[in-house]
Amino acid sequence: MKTETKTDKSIEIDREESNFHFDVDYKHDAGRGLDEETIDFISNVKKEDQWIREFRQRALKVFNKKEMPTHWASKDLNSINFDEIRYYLSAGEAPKRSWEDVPDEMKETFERLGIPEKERKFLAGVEAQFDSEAAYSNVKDAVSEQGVIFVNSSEGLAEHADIFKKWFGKVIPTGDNKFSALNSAVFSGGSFIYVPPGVKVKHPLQAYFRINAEQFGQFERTLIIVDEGAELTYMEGCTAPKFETNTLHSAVVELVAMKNAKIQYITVQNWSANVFNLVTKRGLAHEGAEVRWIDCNIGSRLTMKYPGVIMKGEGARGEVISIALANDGQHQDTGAKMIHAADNTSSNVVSKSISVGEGRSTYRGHVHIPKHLKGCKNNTECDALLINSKSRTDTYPAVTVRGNQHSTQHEASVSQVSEEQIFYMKQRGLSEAEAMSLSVNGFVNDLVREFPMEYSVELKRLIDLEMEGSVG
Amino acid sequence: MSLSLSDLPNPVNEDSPKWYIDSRQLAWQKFLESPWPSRKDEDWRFANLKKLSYENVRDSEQIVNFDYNKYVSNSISLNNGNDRLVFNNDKLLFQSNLDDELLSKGLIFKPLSRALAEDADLLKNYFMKEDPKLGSEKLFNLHQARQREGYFIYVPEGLVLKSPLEVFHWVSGEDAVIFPYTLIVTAAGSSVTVAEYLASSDDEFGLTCGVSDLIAEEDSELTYVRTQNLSEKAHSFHISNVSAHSNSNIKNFSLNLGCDWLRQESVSRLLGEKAHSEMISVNVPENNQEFDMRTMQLHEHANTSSDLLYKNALYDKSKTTFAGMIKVENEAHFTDAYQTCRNLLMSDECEANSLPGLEIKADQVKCSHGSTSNPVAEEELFYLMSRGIEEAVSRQLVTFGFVKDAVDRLKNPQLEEVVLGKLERRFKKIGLR
Repeated sequence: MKTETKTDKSIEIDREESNFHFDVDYKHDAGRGLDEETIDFISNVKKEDQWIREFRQRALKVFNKKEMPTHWASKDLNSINFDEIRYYLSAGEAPKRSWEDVPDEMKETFERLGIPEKERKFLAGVEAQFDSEAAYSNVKDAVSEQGVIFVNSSEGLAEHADIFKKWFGKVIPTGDNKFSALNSAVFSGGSFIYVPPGVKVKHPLQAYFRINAEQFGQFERTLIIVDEGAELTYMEGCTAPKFETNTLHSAVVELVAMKNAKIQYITVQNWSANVFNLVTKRGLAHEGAEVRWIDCNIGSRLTMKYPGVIMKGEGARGEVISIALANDGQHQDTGAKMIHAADNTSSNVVSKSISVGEGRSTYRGHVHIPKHLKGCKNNTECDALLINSKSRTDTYPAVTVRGNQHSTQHEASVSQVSEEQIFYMKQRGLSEAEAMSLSVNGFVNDLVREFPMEYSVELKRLIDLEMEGSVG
Repeated sequence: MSLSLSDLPNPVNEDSPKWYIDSRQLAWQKFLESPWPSRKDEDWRFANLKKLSYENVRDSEQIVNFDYNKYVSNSISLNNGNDRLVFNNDKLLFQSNLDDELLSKGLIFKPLSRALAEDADLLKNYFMKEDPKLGSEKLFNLHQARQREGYFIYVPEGLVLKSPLEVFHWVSGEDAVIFPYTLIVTAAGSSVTVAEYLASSDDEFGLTCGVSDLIAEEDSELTYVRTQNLSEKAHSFHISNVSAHSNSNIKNFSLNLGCDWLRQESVSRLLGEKAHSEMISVNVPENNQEFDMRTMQLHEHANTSSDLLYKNALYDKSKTTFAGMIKVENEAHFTDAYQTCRNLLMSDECEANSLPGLEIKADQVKCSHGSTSNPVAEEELFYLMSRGIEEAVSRQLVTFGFVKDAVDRLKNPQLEEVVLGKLERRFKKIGLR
């Protein structure tokens, strides 16, 4: 492609925007490397109950036993040096209650993220996760009055064990994969949310978090339980400062939607290009319930993330909508997992990926419809856009259907921005970069609309940033 | 006498060329050293590895009880059976005389054993040049090391053959294991259609481990039709390698009806400007049959195209796995590749696995794949039933139409009739349900 160099620049994201790093005095530091003592250290700092200590220790054994999944996943995983990683850091402060108590550095971080303070305050229950611990947490009065519990993982397990213990580690068992085991051993931070029956949370709950220490892994753990007939939208957005050595982020997110409940989990992430982002996300949908994952992955060195829904009750629905953008040196390995375990369940997967420069995006899907079920439906669509001649895209779906009372369809396509489109727009006075930006935005537009307003604005901004600074 | 695969004797003729004998030895070493596929092999995902156990096979040479005339007289399908080879257990039973005119033009259509003696130099240029790409090194090497017969077709430059060449492979006797090899080369500007029929003469277990190399040079056309109607206890393993050079057109069609377990690996390499490959397969398993099909469309050159259509109609507790991969290499811009797998689910206990994949390393490409798994559509049944056709008949009509659509792609009325005839008998056996 003759316009390659121009396009390269036009697509280059302006990462400096979130390239900040403040010195922080870490009050608790478990040091580097992982062994039983590290786990004891974390449990001691957190003053955890015996059952959690045992849960962590068991998980460590599973983690050590499990092999890297490199027989199907990227060999790049082998370059993670687990001995070099800090598994626990905390500012050691109690979660803040009011905006005024939030450290100034944090406020500056928000500033850099470009979210106006007013908007921040308006948004219900902004939970800003500062490294491992939630440093700031503000559940709007209206929400807590409704009986919604919105706390961090330590608080959730310590003070609301009656609610959370039942589902903790049940949707994603420790042994699900090597990285869910790692998270189970060293988790800290994350959000635990409970929405009582019938409560429809009007404003989306939100958590911003960032990784702030070199070679420090962030292992947040999120568990959301939405009781019968209740509804919740949860949003997370992440930006990470740039470091010279690799950073590991390995989260576990479990969602439980009880009968007729609805959960929408939205992620917009923009990791810096040295982060390994290995996340296990799964939702359990009971009868008539709906779990939707809306996911946007930008940045990181390697992202492996396959949000899943287990449709356990009749008529349950699962959906994954995802956008991935891979630039030079980045590999977005994302996908979806739909497990149908009851009659008349339906699932939908729509995935769009954009590969820029030497970036690589991969879709991996798994749809499973077992025997003796009736009326299950799955629809999967994945589209890939290649921007440059060295861009790469892969698709590896797997669909298993048993019995003749179901219907599944899977479609995938690969294309590029058409020369005619660019030519047409340039004719009308747009620069090459603007034209490219418009085309790319058009490609993902129908998915961007699925994001709530604030996020679709942020998302558009992220994509525009890539096109900015173009040579034209 | 029962043997395990690693006890099978080497049936090599000592007068064979040295390169041939050496290649067999090397393959045997590789076979002995390489592990059997395991759970962790992505290329064997969803496969039933328990089926890969052969401790009691028999050297097919040791099985003698044929009624030669019966096989030969049963091996006629087109043109009164002119232009055909008939094998039983890797042993030539019959060979029709080729037209003198064709022979004088340089057409080669003969058993491998004869080609090794008479055309060794030409054969060597094309013989087993392709390595396995879909995870079956072990079985591939076994085939190369123990293969004893097969056939070689070489269509010389500019020769266009109107009527198809036919080859019959019969498998007889309990526990027989055969290793047929097929090598078809179309030289520049030539054209040929080859039909290969594989069938059991009894309902015993037997293992067929075969490889077909199909090579189309510049501007040539090659159509290869392989039908498999082995016994319901049989196992079949087959690799087909297509090499399409510039402006060539290769069609690789397979029909699978028999076998308790089969694995079919089909690779198309697009090697030159405007090369085109079509891969079509029709599969109608019933009872507990398991069909494991893996494909790869490998685009290594710019401006090439490929089109794949696999259609499976699954009855009873049958199970199919389709794993397809479109690979577009760095320089293969302007690739046009399609891949479609359709599963028609005919029972409440069948299982269809689809793994349609794409790996694209070049831009300016058009690639897409689609995979569906559905029962017969209610509307289609309703339409037929409202015209007085009873439900079971309607269902079969729709199913027949479903597979016929793929057979139509052969675009050769003679061969379509042969294939549809086999399908009609198949559906008759399955019966109305």
